[in-house]
Amino acid sequence: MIDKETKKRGHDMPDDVRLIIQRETDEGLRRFRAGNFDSRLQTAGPIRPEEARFEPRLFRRAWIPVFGLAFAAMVIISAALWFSRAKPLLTQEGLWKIDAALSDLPGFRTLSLSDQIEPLGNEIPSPDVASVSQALASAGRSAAVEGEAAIPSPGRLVPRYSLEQKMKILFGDKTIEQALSLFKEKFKEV
Amino acid sequence: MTAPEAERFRELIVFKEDVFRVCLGFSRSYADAEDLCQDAFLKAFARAASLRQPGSLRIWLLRIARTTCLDHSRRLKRNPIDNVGIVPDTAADPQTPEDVSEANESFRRLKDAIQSLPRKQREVFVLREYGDLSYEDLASVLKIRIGTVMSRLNRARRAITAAIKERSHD
Repeated sequence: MIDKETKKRGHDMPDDVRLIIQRETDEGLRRFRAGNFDSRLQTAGPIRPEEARFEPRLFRRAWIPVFGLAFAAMVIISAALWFSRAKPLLTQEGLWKIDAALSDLPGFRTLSLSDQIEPLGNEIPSPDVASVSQALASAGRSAAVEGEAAIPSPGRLVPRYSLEQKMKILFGDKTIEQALSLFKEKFKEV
Repeated sequence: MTAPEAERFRELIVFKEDVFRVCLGFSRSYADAEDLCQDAFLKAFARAASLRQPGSLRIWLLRIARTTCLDHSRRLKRNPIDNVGIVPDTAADPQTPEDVSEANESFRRLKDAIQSLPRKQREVFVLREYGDLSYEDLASVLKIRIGTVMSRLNRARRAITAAIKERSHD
């Protein structure tokens, strides 16, 4: 039982130790062969490569509807937020108020044919009104360049502007912003 | 089980007795050895796709068996309670109760001596004496030189012999 390699090169194992190992191995193999190891192995676990195991596939499958539901919920919430914000901030009534306030400005004041236009100098305008008038006059000039109706000079009838036209006139020139800042308090009330 | 999986199963299961013998050497009972053998095969099937050289299937399988057994030994050391109550199987076919007792005692001494070996010597000893691997195969499984295999095996045999003699005197 002593192999040649061991005899030649190394320490020899005592026969009694070798015998114990031989007996143990023989008895173990006898029992191992008697048992049905193959079928036990097949029922013990997945006899397949790791990447094809059932658990990860099931895990992936379970996450598809979860991600789908989460995505759908995000879309619904986003749409709800979008449409709630898209609601017009200004109602028709608010627009009318702005229109009325703008019409009250000297430059936009609509005069009826029966109104008498005071000649310049008869009325001493307040510094605020004067600056607004000046600003509106310059804005009117720039609007006239674009083909818009020009703001008439004092002493002439002011044509009726739509709200859109008024807004274009007001915000088309930076000087108007300065004029509007003078009427800040009035706009706050509006 | 698909056809390729069944084919791989047949290729691996050929070496079941080699794997079992190695597991028997590392463990303290037949039941443990069979469990370890099963674990080793399950790991092998799981990692079969990563096998690069199908020709060295036996070496590869024994390497997995060795790792599985060493992991098991480490777990036993960490949880000594798992080691309580392991009774060695009767290794021979004795005629008298005295023979049974003596055989069990010899078996216990051998197992204790193997377990007390350093890991590097233990794996060389078990793979050689239980797995019946040649020096070349041992060098392949352990990824060491043949000279190292021989020196470790020599030291392991001396230690086993000394431990058994010492325990028999006690």
